[in-house]
Amino acid sequence: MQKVFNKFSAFLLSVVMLFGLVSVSVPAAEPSVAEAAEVMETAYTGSYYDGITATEGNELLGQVHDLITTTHTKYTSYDDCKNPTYVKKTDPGTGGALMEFYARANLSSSWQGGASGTWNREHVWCQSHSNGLWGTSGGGGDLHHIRPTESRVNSSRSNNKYGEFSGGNTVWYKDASNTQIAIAGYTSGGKFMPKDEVKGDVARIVMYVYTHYNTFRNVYGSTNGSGRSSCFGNLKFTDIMAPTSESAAITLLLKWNESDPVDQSEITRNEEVYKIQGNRNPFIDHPEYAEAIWGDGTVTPPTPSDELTALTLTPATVSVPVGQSRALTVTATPSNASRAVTWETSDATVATVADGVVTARNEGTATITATSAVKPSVKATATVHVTKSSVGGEEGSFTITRSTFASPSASYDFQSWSAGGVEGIAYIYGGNKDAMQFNSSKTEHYLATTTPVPGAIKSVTVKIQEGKDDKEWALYTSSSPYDEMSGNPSGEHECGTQTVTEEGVTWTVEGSDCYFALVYADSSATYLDSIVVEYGGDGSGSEHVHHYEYQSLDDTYHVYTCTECGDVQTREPHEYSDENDTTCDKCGYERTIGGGEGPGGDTPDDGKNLAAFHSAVASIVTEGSLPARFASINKALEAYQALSESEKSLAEEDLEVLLAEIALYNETVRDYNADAEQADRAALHGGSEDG
Amino acid sequence: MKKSVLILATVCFAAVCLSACNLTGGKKKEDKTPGDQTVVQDEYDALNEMVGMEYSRIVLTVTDTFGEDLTLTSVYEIGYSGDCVTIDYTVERFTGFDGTEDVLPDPVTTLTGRTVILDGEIFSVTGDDVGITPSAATLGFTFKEEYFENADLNEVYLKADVKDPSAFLGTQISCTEMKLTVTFFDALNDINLSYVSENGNSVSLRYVFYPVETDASGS
Repeated sequence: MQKVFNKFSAFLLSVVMLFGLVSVSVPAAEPSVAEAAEVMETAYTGSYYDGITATEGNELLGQVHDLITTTHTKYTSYDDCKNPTYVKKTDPGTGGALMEFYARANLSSSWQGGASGTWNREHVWCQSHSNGLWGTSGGGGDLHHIRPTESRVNSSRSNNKYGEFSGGNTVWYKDASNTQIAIAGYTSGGKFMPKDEVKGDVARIVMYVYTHYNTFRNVYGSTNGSGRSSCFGNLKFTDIMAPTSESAAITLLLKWNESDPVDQSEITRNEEVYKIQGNRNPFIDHPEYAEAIWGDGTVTPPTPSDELTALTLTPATVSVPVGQSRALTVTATPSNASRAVTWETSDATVATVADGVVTARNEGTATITATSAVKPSVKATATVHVTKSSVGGEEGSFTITRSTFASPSASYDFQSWSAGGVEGIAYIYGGNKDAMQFNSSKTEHYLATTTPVPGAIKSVTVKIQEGKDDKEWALYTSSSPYDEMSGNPSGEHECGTQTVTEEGVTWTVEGSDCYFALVYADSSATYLDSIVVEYGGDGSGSEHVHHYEYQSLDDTYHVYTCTECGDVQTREPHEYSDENDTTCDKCGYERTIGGGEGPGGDTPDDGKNLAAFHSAVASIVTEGSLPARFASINKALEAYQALSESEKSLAEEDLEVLLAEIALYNETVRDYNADAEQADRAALHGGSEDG
Repeated sequence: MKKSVLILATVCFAAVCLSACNLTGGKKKEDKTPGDQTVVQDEYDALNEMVGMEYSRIVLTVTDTFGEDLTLTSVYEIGYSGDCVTIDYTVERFTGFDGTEDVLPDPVTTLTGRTVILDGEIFSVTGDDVGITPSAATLGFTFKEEYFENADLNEVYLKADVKDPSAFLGTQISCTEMKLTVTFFDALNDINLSYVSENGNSVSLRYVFYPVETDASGS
């Protein structure tokens, strides 16, 4: 009995110890529903969503889709997604670096496209899984979607779908010296799993892309029994998520949305992209929307404000020079009513509008209309007179100083700056804080504007820092912004090179340009103290003179447009003298006509080509193996296309034979294809009289 | 003593015989009461119920063989989500010549695309349009004893010659020598059909059924 007791107690003890060990290794429990609800509370309090009235399912999805598509007024390009002007605002790291999306670590801002340690653009929802809906535009250029990743991390993720698994291979973010910096994720069996603190980010981007770029039908009021949205588009979550069923993919997305809540970097990023594109990622502002649409949750529409009775735009009338922008302010009556509006212009060739900012394109008059998002019958209008770029510009000045650069990086790099409402970039050395130091090794350093100066630039005055050497600088001005990432920005107008001193030197600028670049080409360091820009008026009395040139649009059309202000005179088809002429008489565009030896057949006729064609026709396989028949006909076609025009006129008999064989071949192909179509039809349509 | 031994031996022998029948598994025609058609139809009805069950997706592969080694293969992946049916397809067709225009790179052209069927209507077609109609959203197999001959049916498979292909498929089809194999357990695993088309080509159809998942891991 004692032995039995001892053995039993030993067994019990071992069991307790075993469970004790197991319990030590069990990972921390996921947050409870209550805890998740706390961290999932709504973060956004603005009026963007005031028009959402649905509470769940398809109706909520449809309203959100309409909102984020109609307010998406600026479609950035794939190239925009590597523009430091944008990326440093949307994905900032510290010290001027970028934030690597998957690793959540500082990423060198050096764009190399594919070299290790540098960054490139990541389609979170891969192009290859987009069902052809995007490549490098539309969804493929959406800043809510495209994120910076280190080149090798991007390569490791490849086009693997997102999934969840244990173990797997660790994907490290390494710098250029191959030092491991941070974990970026895991791969296993063709799947990619982000690390925990990125899962929610991925989920909210996937849901945004699905909601925005899907093809939805208006199914307001329609829900799927339990109130969950059902799929009704040409994108599926299983296109990008590893689970093989749509419901399992949704479950995983909702899990990630909850387990990795919205953080401040996402909120900040959402604001920056909103400023650029005009729309927001609703699943960052309202993560609860995900559960309400695809899960079991519901949302409460915003508390209705007092009913809107009127909207007003200020200013009601505005003159804007070509190439410049003005912001319109919306006022609601009563004052606590929703000011959420959608914008439209009566003539986009004259002026465009995005989120209340009007941009002048060409001379003329346009009406800007703001329509209430909550009560579409309430509208307000403003009249925009677009003037010549040299007339009506604002007058003023702004100064760039050392303190303008708030976050210098410790290396040569692009840095953004903002002064007097004007934004720009500078390729400078930020190692000395507050230095505004430039020096060139292999490329010129420069400081340039990326948004227009409010009026025509009149003068630019540059001073060297006290005690520093005088250095030569060159000034360029242009009617276009400088957004190049490498090389030297070249302006339309060279304003000359001057030696800059402590007392300062001034360039006087003529014309109507509102962009400039200061360029420094010396290899020794130079230290600037200040840059003062004066602008406005008629630009020293000069009116804008159009400089029209022909530009080829494509194989069919060219345009006659001013290379400075973009004024379009005409858009018309290319003009050729005859069918053999390859050069457009107006724009000089060179087109290609057919192939072979050139139009008209100017190859000497030595009979070889004719003989080859005759032989190929005689060798056509007329029955039996379809691939053999195909190959022999192809060979004869090749021989025919090598003939000159005069040779073709001598080969009519053989051509007749070839055409007859092609007809017979095509007949066989039709029969075979009909057979295959019938088989597919029967296989797919079994059970229906439609089959 | 001898009598008891004889009885015991008889009982044992009978038991062995019965066991042997059970080891071969399944119901056999010879097990059925002659003329008892109801029992067999019940088994077919179980298959009909499985046809009507919910599946997350069905992958259909159609292979059409011309001559000895020339085939066209079409793959249709039919996904079900609520009232929405998504059909992703890769379809092969032979390429015809267009007069004396371009030399063709391949005798076979592959068409790819996606058709979405919603509420019984074609909602969208992206990529190549291969003419899928809304009826593709619904399986149409009907299992009835009179549609088959030489049937071998048990708890896990059915093998049979299909003597009424149009009735079985629920759509008009001109063919001969249609053979059927179905594997199943609680739900359909796969359905394999082969036949000879009106033009003498060999055609095979393979349907693979995927149950609705409850695991979100995607593994």
